[in-house]
Amino acid sequence: MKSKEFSLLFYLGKSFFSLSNGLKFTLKSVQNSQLAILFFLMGVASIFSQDCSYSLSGRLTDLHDDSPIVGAQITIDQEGMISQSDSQGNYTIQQLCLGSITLKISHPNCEPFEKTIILRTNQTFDVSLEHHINELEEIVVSDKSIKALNSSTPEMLLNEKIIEAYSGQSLGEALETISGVSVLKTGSGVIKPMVHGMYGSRIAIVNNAFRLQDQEWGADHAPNIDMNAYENIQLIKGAAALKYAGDTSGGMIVLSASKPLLKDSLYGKTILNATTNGRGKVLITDLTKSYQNGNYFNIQGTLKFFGDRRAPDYILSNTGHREQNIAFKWGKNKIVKGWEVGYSFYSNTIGILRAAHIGNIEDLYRAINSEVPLIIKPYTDNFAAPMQKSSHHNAYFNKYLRFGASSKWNLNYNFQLNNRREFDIRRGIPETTPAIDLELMTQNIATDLEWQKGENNTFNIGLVGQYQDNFANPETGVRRLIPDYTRYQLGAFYTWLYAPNNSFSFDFGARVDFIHLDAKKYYKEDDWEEMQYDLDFGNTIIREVGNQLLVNPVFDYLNKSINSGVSFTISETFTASINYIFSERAPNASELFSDGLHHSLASIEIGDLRLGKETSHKGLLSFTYKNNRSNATLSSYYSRINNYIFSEPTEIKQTIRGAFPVWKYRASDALFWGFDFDFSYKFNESLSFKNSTAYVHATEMDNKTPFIAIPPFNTTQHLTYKDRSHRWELQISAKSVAEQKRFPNLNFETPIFEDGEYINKIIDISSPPKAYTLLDLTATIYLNKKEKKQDLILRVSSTNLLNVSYRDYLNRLRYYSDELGRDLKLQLIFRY
Amino acid sequence: MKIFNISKNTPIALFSLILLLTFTQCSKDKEPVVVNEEEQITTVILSFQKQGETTTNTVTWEDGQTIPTISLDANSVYSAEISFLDNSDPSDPDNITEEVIEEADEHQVFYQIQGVSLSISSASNDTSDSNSTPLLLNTEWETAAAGSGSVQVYLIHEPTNKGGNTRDAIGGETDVQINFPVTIQ
Repeated sequence: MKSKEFSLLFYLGKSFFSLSNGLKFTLKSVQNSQLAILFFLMGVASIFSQDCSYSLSGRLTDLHDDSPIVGAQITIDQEGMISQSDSQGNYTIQQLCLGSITLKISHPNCEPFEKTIILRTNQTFDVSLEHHINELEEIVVSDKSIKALNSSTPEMLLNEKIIEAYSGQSLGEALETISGVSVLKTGSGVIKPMVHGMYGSRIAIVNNAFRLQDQEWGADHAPNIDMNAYENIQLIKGAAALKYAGDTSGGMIVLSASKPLLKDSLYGKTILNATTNGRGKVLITDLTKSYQNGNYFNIQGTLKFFGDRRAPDYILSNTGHREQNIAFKWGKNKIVKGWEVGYSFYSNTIGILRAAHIGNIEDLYRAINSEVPLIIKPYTDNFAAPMQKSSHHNAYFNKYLRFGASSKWNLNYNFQLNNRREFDIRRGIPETTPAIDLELMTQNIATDLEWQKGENNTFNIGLVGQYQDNFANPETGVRRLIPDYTRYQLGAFYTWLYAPNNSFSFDFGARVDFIHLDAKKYYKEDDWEEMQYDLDFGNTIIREVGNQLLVNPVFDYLNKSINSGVSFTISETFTASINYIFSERAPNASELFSDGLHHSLASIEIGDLRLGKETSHKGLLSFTYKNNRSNATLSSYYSRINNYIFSEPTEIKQTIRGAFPVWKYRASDALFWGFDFDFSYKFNESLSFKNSTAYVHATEMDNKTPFIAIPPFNTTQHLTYKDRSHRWELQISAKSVAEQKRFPNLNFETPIFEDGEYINKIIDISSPPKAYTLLDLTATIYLNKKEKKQDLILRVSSTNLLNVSYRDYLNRLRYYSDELGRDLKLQLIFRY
Repeated sequence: MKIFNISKNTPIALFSLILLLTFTQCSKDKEPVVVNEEEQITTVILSFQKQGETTTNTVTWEDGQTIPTISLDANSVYSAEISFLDNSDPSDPDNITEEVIEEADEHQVFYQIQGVSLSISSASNDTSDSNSTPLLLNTEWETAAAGSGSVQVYLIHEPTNKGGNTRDAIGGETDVQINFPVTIQ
């Protein structure tokens, strides 16, 4: 067994070194096996040396409420070493020899726990145990408070502290603190997360066991979710969490709520934010009533109110933002069984920069060549068109049952109703009539079974079903951007995690999804002919209505996904993981059917019924180095996507409004690679430094051209000083974003009247903006820390402290205005 | 306290209720209604009457068709009138010019002349907005020497500066932009 494992380690050590070099430097696979062997031998040497002066320590806590487990007996198979957990749940065992040891924990109220640990240095190992006298059924181990969704893919976590700090902002902005995450923006209000250069359908946002279904496939719509209702946000870079989706080659964002306390209690928190930029006011409040018997009730609400934002030199007219969210949940959380019902309602109104609503490409030319927005009005907190309004209802029911010692059955149901309305400046029609009005209803049902076999194997198998109905309101007076359709999805998944000890784990997962899409769409006869749809879709025509055709395209897709990975410890300070992810994605509604005008880019967007599914092969390789002072993680990825779907301008169409570029969706093979790097260093108890850096390289393989909207190289440094008595904390951050040098040339020409004649001018929509660096400063003061649950925190912060004027390549409205100028924020967090 | 211990079947009852509510709601298996674009301008008509004559010549442009040529006599003055129509539903044509007049403050017509000896000015029967700025719906076209060139016609929505004498200076969004070839003989 051991020799097998070592040979596997050796093989992997060799392959990941060659792979990493290939990724980091040249992309050519450079064999560097000598270094790998040397490195590997170091690890082996440390395992076999018989130095017996090491210690193992950790903390034992209750899985349910994190309370310490006192008086548990801890034994090690080396010479009958024994210890007991103290009043804080802490334990330490001294004078251990390096190598493999078996840790046993026993407590009168807990089932015995046993785990093999490979000791390479003084090690900590925390264990969460089920600890209930009457109801004890099983024991669950985790060395993190949040159970890892997949053990071998590196996960990044946003904790409550970061969520609170960003409580007045969006999910995308909070996630941007993680290396490898960027945000794709439409002005200052529509902000969506982008992982490894991918967004929309290629990443999933999961809450309450299901993916959020809110029509954010395209670029101009942000996720309809209030992160303030959640305690933790996990980011999985790669399609690891097959339980939720199999088609997300970019990654997955999983939001999870805090576990209610298992005692009679009433607790909550309130956060107040006030900002100078936009004169923002944000109120967030959360209240939980919990009972000893496991019952709980929670209510959470958020109100956001922002007026026009400011760039350093001018007001960004019509960029206000309102948001009202409320969520309830009621449930019972016991060991052997539990349930929860919940409902949440999210609604927002987002103003779109007035100057970004333009008529045709001549207007676009004028806007690009103007230093300042063409329309600047005095500050107001009122809205006018163009704007977006969306609402999202989410109701769910979850139930679980545990069987025997190590099996758990889950049943989840979810109902989502999403409405999206976009208002344009219109003539002859009141502005209160939206130009786009889409309603997406989704119902999901899922069931799964988790079980453990021995101490080392965990399995999960499940089935998911989805029914979706999209309805485009015809009252808008504008032809539908997305047609009416119904969609059915049936999926099944299986995952297996093998973790024989704390320094090696292997996982494997597979998922299949069957998708049936049935749409009814009107095509203009000329468009239908131009796309030559008669050849392939002639039989889908239902009838002719005026100069439009009603057609009924029906698509079936079978998506398969597989992922597998290993994670292992190489030496005292090094761990590594390697993953392979295969995923298939069916084209989404906007890629297939888009048909309409985008005023913000003066573009006509056209989908393509002939698009097939996208197939992605992604390899991820990560190294973590950790010692007492520093912690570094390098994750690199290499992703080959066949039939990658994207849109680009293909022609200029002359209409009565003048000329418009036509952006068509098409598919081509793509290569994405890049790395994310995180490094932190503790100078002493007070002072620490952190760096996050990311790079993405994306190329269309056929013609070797770069893709549009790929995040440029960026790096962020944080310097944090914490007062020794934990009374206050000061952080200064500097974010530098390079100029994107790799971009496709999508410019086009149009005749512009100049000095009495028409001259062909280039409309430069391609050139990325210049590099920039922004400084942020945050001071946190802990006003009351006497009792654990009564915290009063005051946070004063400034973003873009130096009031730098800059433009962001990933902002779709970057042609029209600078980004936000300095903002001063005051935040008060009160826990009770 | 008690309210939370109703019965073990509460969640199942709630679950069934949600299912019932949602499935009954979603039974809209109707066919989608056709949408005809309501606010578009499909037709632009320029009508000319030479001073001292009674006949009216019209130049009509329909969306999607080739742009017709405007033919004018040299050294003459014409009264011109521009009108915008929505003929997308031929059974119910809309006169957009009326809307332009109603919302005079938010609209401006602009002519950009290239290559021909032509000057265009507001006519006495022109419509003006609340600031007495003429919209240039009714104009006088004065021709000089023979030649050929073009007149680009704009209908501008929400102009930022109506007094501007270039398209750039006027700002706003372009609702109509057509470049008519012009021949003066």
